[in-house]
Amino acid sequence: MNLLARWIHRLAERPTDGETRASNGDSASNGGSVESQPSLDPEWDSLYIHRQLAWLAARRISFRAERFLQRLRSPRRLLATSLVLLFFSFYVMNGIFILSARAATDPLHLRLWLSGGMVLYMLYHLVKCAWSNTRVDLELSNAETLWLGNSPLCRSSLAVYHVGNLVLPAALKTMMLSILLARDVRYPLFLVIGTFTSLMLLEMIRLTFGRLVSGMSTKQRGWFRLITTSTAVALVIQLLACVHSLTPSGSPMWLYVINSIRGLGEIASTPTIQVLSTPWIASAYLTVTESLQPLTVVQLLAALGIFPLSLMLLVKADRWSLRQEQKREVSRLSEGQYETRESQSQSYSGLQVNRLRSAVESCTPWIARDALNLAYRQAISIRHYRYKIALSLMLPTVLCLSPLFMGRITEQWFYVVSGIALCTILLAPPALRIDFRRDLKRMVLLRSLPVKPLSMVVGQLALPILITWTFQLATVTIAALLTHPGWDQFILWTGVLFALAVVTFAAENALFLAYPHHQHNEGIAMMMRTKLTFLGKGTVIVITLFLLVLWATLCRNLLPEPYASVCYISGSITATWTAAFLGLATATLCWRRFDIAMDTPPE
Amino acid sequence: MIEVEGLRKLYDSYLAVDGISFSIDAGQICGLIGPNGAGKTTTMRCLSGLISATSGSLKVADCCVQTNLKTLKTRLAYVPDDPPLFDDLSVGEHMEFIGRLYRVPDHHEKAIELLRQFELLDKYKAGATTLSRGMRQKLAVCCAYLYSPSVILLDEPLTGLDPPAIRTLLESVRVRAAAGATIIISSHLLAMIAPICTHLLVMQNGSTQYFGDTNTLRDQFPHAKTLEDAYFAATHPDASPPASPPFSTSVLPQNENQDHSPTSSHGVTEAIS
Repeated sequence: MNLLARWIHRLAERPTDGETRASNGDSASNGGSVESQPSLDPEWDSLYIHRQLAWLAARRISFRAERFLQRLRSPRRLLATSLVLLFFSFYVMNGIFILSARAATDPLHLRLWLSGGMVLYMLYHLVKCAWSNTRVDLELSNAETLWLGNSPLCRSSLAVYHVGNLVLPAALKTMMLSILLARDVRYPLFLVIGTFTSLMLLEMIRLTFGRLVSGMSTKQRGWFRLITTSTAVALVIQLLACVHSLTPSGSPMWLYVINSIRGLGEIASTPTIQVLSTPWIASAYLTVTESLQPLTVVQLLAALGIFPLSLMLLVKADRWSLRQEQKREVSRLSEGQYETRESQSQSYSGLQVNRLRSAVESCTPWIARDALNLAYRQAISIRHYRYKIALSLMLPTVLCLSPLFMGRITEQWFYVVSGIALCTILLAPPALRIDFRRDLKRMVLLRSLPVKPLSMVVGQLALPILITWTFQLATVTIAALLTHPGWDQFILWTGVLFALAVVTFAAENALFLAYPHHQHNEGIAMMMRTKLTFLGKGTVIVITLFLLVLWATLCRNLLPEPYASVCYISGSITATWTAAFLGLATATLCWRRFDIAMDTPPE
Repeated sequence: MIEVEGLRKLYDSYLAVDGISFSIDAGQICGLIGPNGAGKTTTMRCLSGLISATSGSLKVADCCVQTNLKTLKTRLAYVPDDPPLFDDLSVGEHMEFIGRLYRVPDHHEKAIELLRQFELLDKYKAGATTLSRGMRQKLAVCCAYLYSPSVILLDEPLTGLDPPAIRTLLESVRVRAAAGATIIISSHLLAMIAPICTHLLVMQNGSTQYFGDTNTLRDQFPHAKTLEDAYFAATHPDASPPASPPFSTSVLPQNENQDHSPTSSHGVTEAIS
């Protein structure tokens, strides 16, 4: 990393080829009103500016690399380091010795999956973008906004700088994917280039749409939401129909899972998706190159050439977005659609009492009031994310209930419950980040509150757990009404799933407090973290299932029937709730040992 | 110089700045004062081009803010309250980056000189995360001074600074103005900035309550003995001003008699002593 920094340093030191300081050549100096005059600034900066930005990026990467190496050696992070090294060794060994021995995938299918898969991933990002209430401004940090936004740089340079920062995460993802797909292609170099350009293009399209959505009016955004959401719903329906037709009646659950992946591949190969995947076609062809031909050079140039094109589109989208925002602002002002401080103070009618909150507070024992107040604060911000949360939970509900509508599978109740457990562990934590994970910048404030650690943890985790419980209860109730599993099953699984939600969020927050990170962090550490967490969760699911089956077998073998069921249900619920309380205790311990000075990572 | 005519700024549906107009010449120092939420920071951000004004005409350092933003930014420095820094750069690297970006000749030597002036030289290799609030503020000021801008906007620059640093900063502001820079300094520490300000812009609820030189303000409110008194009179014309706190014993500055030479600092010394 230091070598890279030194190389960039030398590059940046090169003479500026007669470039003159902008301040010497200023000509336009007349004042003008906001609405009337177009910008006289150029759209692109000189190469000199980009060399300086490259220098900045190299210095930052160098610092982060050094910090990463320091952390790897830190005894405080010994466990995490060991897991990372273990995972990485396993991943590479698996790629070399196991994956390389399997039959190669048909190049045609691989090409269609690669290009179509990117479209599916893009649609996912577009739906998220459409329903997000956050205004995206090239995703710059506060320091970047001040020091780069306030510097004599064109907006295009900020876009180039940001895209440049995406190179490293994309390269890491490329490395992981290349290990997986190395067996399927003839030229590994083209695999690396094709995958990397595909991933970078996906990021740039995501950024472009992020800017476009920021510039949209309420009406335009409504249409965008309708189009993206209906497309996503249509794809989900198509996937369900595909799985339904691929899976014979009475098949085990694992076949449904495998066929879901096959179904996704088939959807990615459909003509409509392939038309949408035009920007990725060249990269996909390049990846599966079987023989070197003149056309390969064309594909290579096209795959690389899409970069400047998409960058120009991003810059145009950014300019359009800024203009639209400014136009609407001017229009609101001219139409008088605004409030002043005086009008705000007039509309405030004294102390407004939230009666519901007061009633809940009066019924709450004093010991839980701190937690209630913290949860109330979380509830206020939920209003801001309501669409995102509703959307994040709607899809899992449909997926969990899908076995009920297949009609041909056995033990539908079991599949629904398994689906809810999977969604609780895998989907709920990333969808409901309204706990410690969004409060990293407010840790000092949280620490200064006169709240006991346990109350703090309960208060921070209460809302996401309550929302997950609502999702679980709604899905379990619908499934119970349709499949009639009996009261004992309903009580058992409701109790177990509720405890599972508590364990999941407690573990997720304990992990976050032990190894905190900023919300939008990227890089090798984050990638490893995601993979390891996923593996950890998978292990927990398998162990839990094993223990439940073992417990059921024991109860049936040792006790007569009426007592066996009671013992099995009460034992399972007790065990899972014990795990839940242990999880809360661990999270409390992690909060207690959280050191603001040492644990808060730099932004 | 700065010329503002009818500046208005709308945030979503809230009018933060409502038609303010003022003009400051080169070499003048304008104190921007007003209660919290008066629109001071918004005004500064509009002037710096960090956010676009909704309406009005803004000319700063001979550049139209709307049409010559890039050129303007080579001549203007804006230091916000509690400036965010790059967590992964050291103090020296911040200075080097700014020197490179603005193509400052001999930027390394100038950086060393500025860091020495603000007593940050021993922190040259220290990471930004290890700096205290006041040190971050001082580093941001050093970065701003490095390329010798002709317009400097300082938003609450005294917050978090120790008394020697306040003295150094106010003295440096005076020196830069004497060298021809136009400076706006926003602060609630009225007694501190009073000795160096040639003009005052008093804002309230997004509007101008007063703009002019400090002597005229004193003439407008003859009963005001201190800047605080004048400030209260301007922002609460119906209310009688509260008693001045014991520390603000400095009377309104007699700017016409002030010595603007780089070596003079008696006003600043008096204010913070």
